[in-house]
Amino acid sequence: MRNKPLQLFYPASYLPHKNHELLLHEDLISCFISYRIHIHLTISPDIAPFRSLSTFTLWGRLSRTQCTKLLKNSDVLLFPSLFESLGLPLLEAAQLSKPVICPDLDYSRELLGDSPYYYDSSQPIDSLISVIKNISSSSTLSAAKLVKSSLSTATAWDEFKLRLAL
Amino acid sequence: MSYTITIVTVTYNDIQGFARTSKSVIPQLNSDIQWIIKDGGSSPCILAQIKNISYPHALLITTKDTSVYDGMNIALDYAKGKFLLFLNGGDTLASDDLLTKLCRAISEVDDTPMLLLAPYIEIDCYTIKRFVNVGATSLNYFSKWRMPTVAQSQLFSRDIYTSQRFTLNHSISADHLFYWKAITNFSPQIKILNYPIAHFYLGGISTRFPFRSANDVLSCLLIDPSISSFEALLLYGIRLAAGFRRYLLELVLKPLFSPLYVLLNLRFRLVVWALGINGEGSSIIANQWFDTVSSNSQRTLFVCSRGSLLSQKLRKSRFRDRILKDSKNYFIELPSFFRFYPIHFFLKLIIPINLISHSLLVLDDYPFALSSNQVLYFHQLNLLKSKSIFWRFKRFVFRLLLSSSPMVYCQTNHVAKAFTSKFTNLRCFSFLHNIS
Repeated sequence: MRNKPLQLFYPASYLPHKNHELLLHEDLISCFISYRIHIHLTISPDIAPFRSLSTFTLWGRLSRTQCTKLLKNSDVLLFPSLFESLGLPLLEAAQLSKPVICPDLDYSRELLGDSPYYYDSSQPIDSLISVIKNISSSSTLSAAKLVKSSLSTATAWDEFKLRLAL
Repeated sequence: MSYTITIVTVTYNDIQGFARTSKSVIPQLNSDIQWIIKDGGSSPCILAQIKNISYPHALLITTKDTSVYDGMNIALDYAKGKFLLFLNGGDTLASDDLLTKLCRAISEVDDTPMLLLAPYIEIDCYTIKRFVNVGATSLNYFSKWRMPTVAQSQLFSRDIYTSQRFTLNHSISADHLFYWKAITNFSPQIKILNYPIAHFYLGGISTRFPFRSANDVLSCLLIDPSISSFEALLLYGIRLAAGFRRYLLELVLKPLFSPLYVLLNLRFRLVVWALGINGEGSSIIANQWFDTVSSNSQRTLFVCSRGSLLSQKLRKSRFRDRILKDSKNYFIELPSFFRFYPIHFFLKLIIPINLISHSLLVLDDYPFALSSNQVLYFHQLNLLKSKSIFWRFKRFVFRLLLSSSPMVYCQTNHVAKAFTSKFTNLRCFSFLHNIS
């Protein structure tokens, strides 16, 4: 068991597909407490169920610089979102060599391949608890890595110029 | 001797058109290409100029024919290439290395009945170009009112022509009938190329005579046993409406308004539209797009909304100052209430943006209904997946706006896949962005 609480960060607006509700499940809450997990969220400090739980720190909306700073200072990026078109925080976590916990879904596979700590999205509670147990007992955590070489807008622009007959 | 490609050019008393075609074809010819020129009985002086072509693999046939399609049928008897490309007098190839690229693509395909389809570049009366993607290739009857691409951008393998020819009783749409009959009878393997093959000049018979063109298609549809009379009439209606829309745009509206826009110097090469962008991730991407496009030498109009996250980022990077230095580009920040969905949607429904711009890059997920030549940069997965009433309504509006058939780009493969499974008639491309 670690000496300090493990700091998890989930940068996302409070929208249904971001799946914040998952974190309120009582089994998960007790797991967070017993394994000394602390979670930082970028949702409003007024949101009732989270406000009353000491496991969570609610930062409200942060600028991108503040988000990056908070991600740098965290141990792990937690990203339970159900769907994403890109998943910007995943990219940033990989660029900062941070470990990532996320569901095993298309969007996360496409960006990060096998590198994150995946949990099963069809049985998220049990699966996420076992991931939490696993990372809490590990002395070192493996960082997420991007699997695809990404394209810049300049490269895509060449394609667009052709498509638009410019 | 066998060839990879046979190009067939049918011409009749049109030396200017033939000169345009030969100027485009001759520099690209090599020993893999056979070029058949079928002249339908031009005057001796024109024929003398055609005979001047000195290329060892060119074959000039001068027998009389009764129509373009008769000429094409006659030329087919002499074709020795694995694949055939019909490039008639006046048509041109879309790029300087096209025949090399086509030969390479053919070397990668099987010998079975095969069809190569490619986009084309449409050119209007003001020589303004528009890239047109390959449309639906499925055999459902709804797609039969047109071909997925023009005949000049299709290459059937030669074995199909040995047992099927162009009918001579459809003067406009014999290629249309040939296409669907070949698909039904031979079920060729279809390979779609991502580069354009030919330039297609608007203003031909099918543009000038939409009623005649639709009638010709109707007669093709009525002899197809898989299509009932009711379905044929429905498709006829669609074809007629599309024909009149093109007629109005090309022969009435453009000649009426374009000189005015040229005079006022208001016509842009490109509009980059990001009015609805306000999220963190999408603002970063849109900011990158604004930077990339503005550094290119296109005359561009950039649009975003005041007070949005994108607007803040652009202010921080002093985008407006940079734009003002460059007299070619313009930047507009519309008041924030334009971001309000009903207004935003209404604008997308009614603004014919092509009247002020040649092309359009839409970054905020909803295309313009009345604009052609647009790339839609799609990143709103909620539109595909969310089941809430709010998003269902937005999906409904999205479908309405999609009538303009934009080219759709997504950031990632999984979004592209989800998109094409929901909107099967559209092609969708994807790439990943480098976020810095």
